[in-house]
Amino acid sequence: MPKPRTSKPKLPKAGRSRRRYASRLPIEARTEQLLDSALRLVAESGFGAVSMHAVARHTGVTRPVAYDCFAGRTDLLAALVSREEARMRAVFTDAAVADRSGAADQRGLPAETLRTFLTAVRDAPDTWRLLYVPLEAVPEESRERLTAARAELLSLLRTQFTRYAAANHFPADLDVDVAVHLLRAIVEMAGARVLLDPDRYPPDRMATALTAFLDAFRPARTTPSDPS
Amino acid sequence: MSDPSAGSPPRRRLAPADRRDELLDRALDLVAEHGAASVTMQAVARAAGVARPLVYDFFADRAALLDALLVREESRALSDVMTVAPRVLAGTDLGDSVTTALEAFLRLVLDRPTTWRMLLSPTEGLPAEVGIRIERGREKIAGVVEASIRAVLGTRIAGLDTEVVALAVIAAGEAAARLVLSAPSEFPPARLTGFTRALFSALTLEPVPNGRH
Repeated sequence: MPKPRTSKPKLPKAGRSRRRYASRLPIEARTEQLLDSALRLVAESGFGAVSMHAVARHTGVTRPVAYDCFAGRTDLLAALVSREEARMRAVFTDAAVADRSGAADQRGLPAETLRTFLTAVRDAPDTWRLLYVPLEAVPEESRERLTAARAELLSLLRTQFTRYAAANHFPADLDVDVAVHLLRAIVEMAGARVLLDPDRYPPDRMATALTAFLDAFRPARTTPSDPS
Repeated sequence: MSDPSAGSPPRRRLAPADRRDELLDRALDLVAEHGAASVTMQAVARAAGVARPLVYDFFADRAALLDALLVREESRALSDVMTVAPRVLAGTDLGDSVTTALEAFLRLVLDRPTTWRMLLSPTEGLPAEVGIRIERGREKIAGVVEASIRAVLGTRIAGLDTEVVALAVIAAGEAAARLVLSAPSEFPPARLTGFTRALFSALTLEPVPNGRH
C-alpha cells in the first residue's frame, strides 16, 4: 500500500515576503522600530540624514521591509514627527496634572510641573532634541508641526502663571502674554541644559533652583487686588 | 599724470583695516536686507563698489567672510552688554535694577538689530560653527550676570543657585530681545519694562532671618 504522499505543504505566498524580516515582527512593531531608527538619525545628524536606505540599514533590515511600512521618506518623516509631537503633548499634559494632583503649594509654585517636564526630557532626549536643538534641513511640514508643539508649552505656562498670579495677588492687568513668553524661554533653557549636559544640569537641580528662587519672593500685598 | 577728479567719483583709498571693516559693513547690510544666504563674495564686492578680487584679498571665501562678520559683531555685542551689565548693581530696589538693566539692554539690541538677530536667531544661511561661537559668548555674559546676581541677591536668598538663576535671567533677556526684534509694534520695549516693573512691585523679597545662610 503506497504511502500517502506527504509532500511538504507549499509555503503560502505571503510567507515569501515575511521571510525578509530579520525577526518576524508584526507590522506595527516594525513600524515603531523603523521610526526609532529615524529619530536616532535625526538626533545625530539632522533630517538630511534620513533616507529609506539609511533607516533600513540602521534597523538591520532590507529596504523593501522599510517600504512595507512607509511609502517613502516623506511618509516616514511625517509619521515620525506626528509620533514625537504626540509624545511631547502627552508630557505637557502629565506636567500639568502633576501640580493639579495636589503637589503644588498654596502659592502656586510650579515645582512638580517643572520636574515632570525636565525628567521627561532627560528620559527621551532624542524626542526633545527636535524642539530644543537647532537641526539641519527640517522639512517645512515638520517645522510647522514642531512649532505647534512649542505653542502647546505656551498654553500650559499660561495656566500655571495665571494660578501663580492669583495666589500671589498680582494686579489683574499684569501682562500675561509677556510673562508666558519669558517663562517659556526659561523652561526651554532648562530643557536644553538637561538635554546637552544632564550630569551638570540634572532635572532636579534645575527644578529646585528655579522654584527656590521664586519661593524667595512673597506677595507685596496680602489681599486680593480689587476686581473692579 | 591722471586727474583723480575726472570720470567716475574716485573711491577713497582706504587703509587695509578700514577696507576690511567696510566690506564687513556691506555684508551686514546684505544680511539685514536679504538674509545671510544673500552674502556672496560677488554681492559684497558689488555693494562696496569694488572689484571681486579685492574681497578675496581679505577673505578666503564666503564662509570666512561670514565668520569674520560674526566675530566682529559678536565682540561688539559683547562689549555693549559689558558696559550695561554692571549697572544692575547700581540700584537698591530690585525691581528698579532689573527694569533699568532690561531697558538698557533692549536699547542696545535695537541699536544693532541685524547683529542681534544673527546672534539670537541663527538661521540656516549661516555656517554651522556659529552656534558654538554664540554659546561661548553667552558663557561670558553668564559670568557677569551671575556675579551681579550674587552681589544683589546672594545675601538675601539663602542657598541661591546663582549659576542656574543667571542662565534663567539670560534666557528671559534673550526672549525679550527676540520679542522686540520680531514684533516691534506688538512688543515695544516699554511693554517689556512695564511688565518687569509691575511684576517686581507685586512681589517682595522674604526677609532673611539673621544667621541663616
